[in-house]
Amino acid sequence: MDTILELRGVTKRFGSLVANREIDLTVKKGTIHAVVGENGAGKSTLMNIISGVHRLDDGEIFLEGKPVNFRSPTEASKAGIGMVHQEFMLFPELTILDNIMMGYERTGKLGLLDRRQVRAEVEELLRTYNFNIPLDELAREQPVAMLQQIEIVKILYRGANILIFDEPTSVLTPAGVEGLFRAMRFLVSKGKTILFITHKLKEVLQVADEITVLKEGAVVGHTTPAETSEEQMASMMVGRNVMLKANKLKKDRGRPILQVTDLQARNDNGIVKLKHVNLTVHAGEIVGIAGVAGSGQVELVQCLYGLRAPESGAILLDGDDITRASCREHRCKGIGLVPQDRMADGCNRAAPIWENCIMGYHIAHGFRSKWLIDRGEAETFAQRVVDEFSVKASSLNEPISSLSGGNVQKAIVGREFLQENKLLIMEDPTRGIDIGAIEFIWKKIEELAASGVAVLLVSQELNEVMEVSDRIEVIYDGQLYDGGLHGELTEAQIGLLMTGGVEDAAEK
Amino acid sequence: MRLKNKSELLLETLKYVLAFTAVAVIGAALISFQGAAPGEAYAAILQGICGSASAIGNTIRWITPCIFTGIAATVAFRSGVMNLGIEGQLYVGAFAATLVGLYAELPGWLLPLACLLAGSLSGLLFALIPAVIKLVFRIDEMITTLMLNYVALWVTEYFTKIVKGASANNNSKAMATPVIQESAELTTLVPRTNASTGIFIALLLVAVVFVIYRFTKVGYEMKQVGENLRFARVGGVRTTRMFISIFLLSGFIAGLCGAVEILGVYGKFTPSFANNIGWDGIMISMIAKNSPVGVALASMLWGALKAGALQMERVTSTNRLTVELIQAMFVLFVTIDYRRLWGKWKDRQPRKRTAGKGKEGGIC
Amino acid sequence: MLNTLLGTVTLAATLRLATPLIFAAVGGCFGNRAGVFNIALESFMLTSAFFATYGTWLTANPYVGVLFGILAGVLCAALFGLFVFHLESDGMVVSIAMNLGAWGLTTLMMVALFGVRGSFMDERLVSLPALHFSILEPLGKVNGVLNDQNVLVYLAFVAVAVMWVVMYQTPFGLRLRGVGINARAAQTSGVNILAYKWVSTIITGVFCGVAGAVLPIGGTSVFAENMTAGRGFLAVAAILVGQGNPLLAAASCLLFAYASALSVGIQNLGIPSQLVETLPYVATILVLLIYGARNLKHVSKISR
Repeated sequence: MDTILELRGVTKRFGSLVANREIDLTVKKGTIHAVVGENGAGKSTLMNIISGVHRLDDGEIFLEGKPVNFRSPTEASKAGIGMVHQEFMLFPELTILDNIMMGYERTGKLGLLDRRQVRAEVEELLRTYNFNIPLDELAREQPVAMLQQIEIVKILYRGANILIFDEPTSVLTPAGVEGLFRAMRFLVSKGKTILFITHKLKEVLQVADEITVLKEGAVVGHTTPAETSEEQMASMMVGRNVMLKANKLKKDRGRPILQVTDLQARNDNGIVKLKHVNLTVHAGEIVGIAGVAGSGQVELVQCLYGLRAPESGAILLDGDDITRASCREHRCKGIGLVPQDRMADGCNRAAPIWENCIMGYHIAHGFRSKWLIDRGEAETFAQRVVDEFSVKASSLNEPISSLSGGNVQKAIVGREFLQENKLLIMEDPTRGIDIGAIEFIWKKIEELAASGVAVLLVSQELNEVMEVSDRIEVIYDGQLYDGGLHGELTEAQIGLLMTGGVEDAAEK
Repeated sequence: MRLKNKSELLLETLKYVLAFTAVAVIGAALISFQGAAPGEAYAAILQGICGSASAIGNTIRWITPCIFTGIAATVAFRSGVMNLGIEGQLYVGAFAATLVGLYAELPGWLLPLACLLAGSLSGLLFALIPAVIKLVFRIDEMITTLMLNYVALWVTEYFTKIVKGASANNNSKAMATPVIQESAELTTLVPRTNASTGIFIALLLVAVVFVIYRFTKVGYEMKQVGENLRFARVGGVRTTRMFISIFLLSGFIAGLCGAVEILGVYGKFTPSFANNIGWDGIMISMIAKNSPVGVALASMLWGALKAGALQMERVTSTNRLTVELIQAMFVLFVTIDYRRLWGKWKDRQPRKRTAGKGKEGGIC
Repeated sequence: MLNTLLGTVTLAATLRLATPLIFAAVGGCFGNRAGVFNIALESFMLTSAFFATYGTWLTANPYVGVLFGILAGVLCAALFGLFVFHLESDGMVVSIAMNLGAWGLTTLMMVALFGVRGSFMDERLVSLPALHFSILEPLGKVNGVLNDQNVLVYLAFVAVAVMWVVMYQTPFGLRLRGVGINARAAQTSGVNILAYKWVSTIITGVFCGVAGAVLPIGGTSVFAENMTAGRGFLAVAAILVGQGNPLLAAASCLLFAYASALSVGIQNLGIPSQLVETLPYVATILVLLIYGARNLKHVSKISR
């Protein structure tokens, strides 16, 4: 097989930080080449260099033997390199057709858009590659899997021969992942080349032809699925021998803290997202909720935390009815929340660390005075958060945005854990942070539950739910299904529940 | 605003010095354009600021409303409430204060107090309209407050005409209410000037707002709401209640400003008397970066320039609007984000093009 | 009463009064769609109005005046763009400073160049001629409304149509909207965000230039201090209601203008002039309320 893309000594710096260090990479035509590494290993930066988003500081790139140096994504695209970004680069308010042709329009008379011409070309592509996309609908009305297909068709329309997929599976259901892999293999069979970035090792073994492992911005190994295993890749990625395993502690299950009965709720568009949800979380118990994004997790958490008024049903906290209580009352009654979007909901990036650390604490648990904020007391508490959750910060007065993602998350988790809550709700508490921080947070969750706090863990990482939870519930289409106790069901069985295969799973 | 280190302090100082110099040069050009000598005009401005006892009095007179409107704007903007209706709220407050000052029969200090209360409460009620529209209809308060400014302007003129009675002609320049009762007026500080005890109310306000922001939970919440509303809501801040209270507080202060202007300076309500003082407040709060102490300092500069401008117009052939234009330019220069600009420039030096602007250390 | 509401005079006045609003709103739609926060239209218009007056006065030719107006509008837009796109200033701060500065500048220039304050009239300040279409004559009321308006009134409607096509049927318009919806996505599609923001702002400037020129030389032949009197803000409101669509924005402009036009007739009914003057602003708020009423169903969900 011919080499289509070759990188030699590619280096990229952001200020004093070296994101990519002398990377060599050879990609063969017609293969699926996986680039793996943990968060922050420099995978995305590398792909951004190849696709012209960033410019390299040192090194060379050869495309089909010829040296290239892209100054913009457009140049890369003209040379046949296209990227499906992790966050979709789409325009929700435009039709799918307009989305696909953006930047690469065809014009007819008077320089007006020739949508008919574009449509003919796109429909040809859809036929060739077996996609089924409604071109005249708005992008915002499409499910996630469809958005991803639009992205793929978009770069095919631009004439891409090398397709880069940046963490494409993180937003998909297990069935969606299967579909994507089928599409990837089909594309390769038609002569395209795929670069596949991921940190999910199972998927790599499943789909890749070649594997390159990155660590701290440098290549640490090159292998193929036949030669390696998950464990081996994991130790290459982290540099030590870790597999993410939660260390389960022995806990005493206490009285029921959270009792949800027959909860029903709609989302902002009036669609029913929760149907007759019943849920109980006991003191000293970690209940994990697994599910595909958009199954109603968001609405469930919003209802439990007073951010959304349920239509019917009741929520009891330690016997108290909190169905229609406000966020503030929730806080005061002892519910903490680690929100999913840590930058939008979890912290105020403009504010110093100490101000971020006392949010909630200032009303619910701390400060002797009803009106005043005691700076000393505030700083003591903030210092406790920083110390006990090993947040790497130079000063409490630094803005929290100066910390890395993992440290911000540790500060948020610390803030919620150190308040004397009865119930703690967590949404994707370890998303996008490095393995060290994940292990740390998992350990803290265990300790917290062991101390008698009820924990509700909502996560899109199935692995996380399975490892950390004492009891698993699966949410599908607004309903909860029993996912058994820790280790009771296999990943495949839970995966089936997540996609609505209730009967099949129940049989086993 | 907490300054982290010396270099930052230097940068801040440099910024103001630069802006001031640039504006002085442009101002000189504008003045000579009008056929006056810049030196003479600047001397006149200085003289108008502190050349005599009455000059100082006039400076104080102009600082007072600047502080009020500056604080009204700061309170709102710091919490992300885009109240551009300070001008309108001020008119409504001023008119209400005038009415009470004309007709209420109250003994002693109760009368001015009633006037001040009437003014500020009317400002508050007028601010209630856009606040409710925002909460119920989700219409941006920015555009509604802008429109309501004009409504306030015309409606107060209409009521002025009613108060004045049949003898009123329609020329708004000549139209005014009768003068309020003498017992309603605020005490004059400097004889034969319009400097009144209103300045003490203004300074008290600065102190109160400073204390609220610095030491109280409410102040902490007000800041968080402005910087990240969603974070504050999840954290347990009653954001809707907060929004309404801040809007009303801002209107209250604007109305109070109108009342003080009437009681301390004009003595009667003249339609469109305020001449954009509400907008000045917004500019001041922007220069002061929404810090109450900063507002007090910026107001001193602003008020002094206003007082000086009048003197300049009296002594030279220069129009006082020159100063208004200069002030607008000063705002433009000062609010340039020099630090980000500097960062961008530095990034560009060693290598061309890096990541998109304003992104935080995103490697992945 | 009906004659006031739907009379020829009122409707003709509606078209005349709508013209500056429509120009400003149509231009402003482009900035709005490109994601540029700009409430400085007021200052663009006021400055243009002054320079249109000046150009006309210099040459006694209103078309030169319009050109001056456009030039002034573009310069204002360039100043705005310089501060917002390159000097990292906040769009609102720049807008407010420019709005206040324009008031100062135009009044100052009026004193310096014409030697008057308040308002300026001169025989050299010639208005744009009215166009007469003889084919409209037999149409009675339609004739009375549509005929004998100045050329910019007709152009305003042409502009709406043309700019609608530009916005929705050209690559330029598509990319411009792309920039406003998702700038990063547009960038990865090879669209130069900065260029599009600049072009859209300049378009705003050009159209506000024409809008400003309409005021002094669109029939009245007078320039007055702060002549725009909030029309720039009305245009911003129209853009908001029309969600950046030139057609819808123009429609709301017509509505606001109708409210102003009514004031002429209503005054004769004995309603005080001051209250009548508030009509366009109140109408704007009412339109916003109707537009916002669709949000009502969410009221129950306002977080506590």
